[in-house]
Amino acid sequence: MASMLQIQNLSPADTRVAELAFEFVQFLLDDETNLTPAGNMTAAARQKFRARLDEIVAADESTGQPPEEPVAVVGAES
Amino acid sequence: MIERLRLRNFRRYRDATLSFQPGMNTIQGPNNVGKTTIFFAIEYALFGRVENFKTIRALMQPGKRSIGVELLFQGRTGERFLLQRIHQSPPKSKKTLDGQFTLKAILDDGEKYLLASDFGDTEDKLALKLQELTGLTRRFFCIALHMRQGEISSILSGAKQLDIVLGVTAASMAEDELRQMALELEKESAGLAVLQERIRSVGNELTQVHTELTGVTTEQKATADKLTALGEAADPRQELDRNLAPLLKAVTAYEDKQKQSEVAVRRLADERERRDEALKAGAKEVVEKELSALDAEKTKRAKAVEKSTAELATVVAEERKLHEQRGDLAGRIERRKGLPKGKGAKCEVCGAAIDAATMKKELAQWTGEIEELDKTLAELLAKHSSLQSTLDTATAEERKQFERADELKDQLELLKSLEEKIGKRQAESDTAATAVKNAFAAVQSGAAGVSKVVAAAAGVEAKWKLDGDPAGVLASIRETIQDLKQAMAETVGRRLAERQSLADLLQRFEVQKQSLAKRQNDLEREQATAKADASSQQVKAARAERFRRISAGFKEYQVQIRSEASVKLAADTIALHRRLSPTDEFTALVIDPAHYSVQVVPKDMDEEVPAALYEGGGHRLLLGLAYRLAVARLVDSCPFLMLDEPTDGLDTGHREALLDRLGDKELARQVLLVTHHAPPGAPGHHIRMAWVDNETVVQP
Repeated sequence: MASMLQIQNLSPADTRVAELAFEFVQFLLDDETNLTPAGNMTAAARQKFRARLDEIVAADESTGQPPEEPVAVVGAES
Repeated sequence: MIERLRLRNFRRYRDATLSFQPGMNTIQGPNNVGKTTIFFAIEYALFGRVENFKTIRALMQPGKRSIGVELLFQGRTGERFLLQRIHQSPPKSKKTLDGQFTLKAILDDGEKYLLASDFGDTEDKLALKLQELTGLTRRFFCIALHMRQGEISSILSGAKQLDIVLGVTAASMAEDELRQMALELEKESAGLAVLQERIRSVGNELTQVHTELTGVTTEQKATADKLTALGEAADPRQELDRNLAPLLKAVTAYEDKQKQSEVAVRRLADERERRDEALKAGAKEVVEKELSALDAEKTKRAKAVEKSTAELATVVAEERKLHEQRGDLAGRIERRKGLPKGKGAKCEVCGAAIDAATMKKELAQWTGEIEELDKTLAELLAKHSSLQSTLDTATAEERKQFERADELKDQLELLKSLEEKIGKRQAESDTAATAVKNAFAAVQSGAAGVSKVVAAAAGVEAKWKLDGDPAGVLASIRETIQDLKQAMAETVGRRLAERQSLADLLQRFEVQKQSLAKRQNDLEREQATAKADASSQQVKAARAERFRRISAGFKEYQVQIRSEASVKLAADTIALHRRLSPTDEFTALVIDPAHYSVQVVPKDMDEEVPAALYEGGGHRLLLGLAYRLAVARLVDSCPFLMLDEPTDGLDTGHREALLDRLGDKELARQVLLVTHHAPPGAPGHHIRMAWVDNETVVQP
């Protein structure tokens, strides 16, 4: 799905971050429990997104490479 | 692609396993046998829930306490995976269900666990993993892969979910969130300019402090060097004392010798005086002469005494004899007088009778004899007394002469002793005088030596006079030493004052240095803190800027994806429709980018009309199917399609054409088709189901 993302005027590094952020939001949106009745992200989902974004940016800033696995994905549902 | 599906206690299935093949898989059976349940089971396996089913328990076979599905499928790259999912009621619970899942990779030599809820893996991780392996998300699955019976054409009037599937919603949310985060970061880094100004200011101050510190350190070192140079020289007073010590010792020695000499001279004089006094009692020659005379007189007197003594002895012997005679006579008289008177008187010696006359006569005779004797005795006594007196006088004189001789001998002894003492004192006096002379010479010599040393070491000149009388020399030496010490004390005083001044200066430098060092440390700490804060704020500012860029990109992307996706979806939909439908009914097809509703231009009209209103049921179904397939193509590859009675409302021609064309592998690698209308001998894999003994079974 992320392959669709072709944002103009972004550097390769920003594009990489944008792709991973987009992919994670898509993942969050795939589950209605992450959305409010009005269709916005819940506070918990926003927290997850921010945590994931921090991971992505921190990894990108330190190594120039995105993290392999989103550690920010938390919370079990069985 | 799905290879196998096993269902346990899933709605009408107690335990059934279905195998699928690539290409067309037709699932057939009577109504209510559980054909659609197969699709629910696949959705349950992949996502843990089924759309329109509020609870898992609604999917469970009545009376059972657990439900389970096992899905064997191929991923994007052909690897095989086994996904197992169950829900079961815990003991003593009728309402709650505990869910578990396991995802394994099927390898040539066995299985490998990828994720398992038993190992603490979450549904989120499983969803991400399945998305990675298959490209599937639940929304994509529901809108583009799982085509429910009677709902296929509903997409023609638009689908809000397409915003999610195409990523518009994600881009919008990401835009909002990133903008919000950028704003927060900008607020947090608002003090950056102030911090940078502070860092510059602190840096300037630090440079100034460093310069001052260097200057103070240099001055301190120079002062310390000066102080060290002063401190290295020994105290000149001690040096002077050391140099003067031998001289003072010599002076003391001289004075001691001088005193000893004076004592010796005084003793000699005393002895001489004593001798002169003794000479008054008689000189030696006089005393010796008198002694000689005394000896001669003594000899002479000894002879006289000898003669007188011999005479006296004769007198004494005569007197004793006469006394004996007188005693005899007196005794005889007494005894006659004591004889009885008359007859019978007898001689007491011879016993002859003595008469009174005889007796009288004899008594008279005897008394006469006694008188004669007494006269003689008186004469002898006078002589005796005379002799005795002579002897006594001689003895007294002799005693006097002895005493005088003793006195004369004592005088001689005294004179001899005094002469000897005078000789000894003279020798002592001479020795002491020599020692004084030598000591004075030593003083002169020592003073001369000290003059050079003192001049060389202490830099002062000793102006003493070493010639002349000793008292003058000593006075000069003492005075000069006093002057030297005075001069030295002044020198040392000046030096000590200078040293104290340098020490005070050094102390002031140290205090100043410590103060500057402390200020420097404070500034460095402040600078480090400010730099760290600035660095942190710079990072935040950079992130904020980056988030704003990406946020702006997402905003742009939303417009872009809507317009591009609607154009591409329209093109793909019309192309797919032409492949699925034997008849070409439109001249154009447009998708509204705002709502994703489909507008068509029928061949018999020149304007766009909503497809949901214009078309008939069969055509809507085909168009909806084409639209959904277009969505699937647009979003990702299409691993499989699940079509539930897609031919309802189609006439025989269109139905047969559709069923025939759905097998085209260019549409999907695998199609799972539930239908009552599969023509006999239709190509593909056929799965038939039947209701046997109150459960659905898969017929071979």
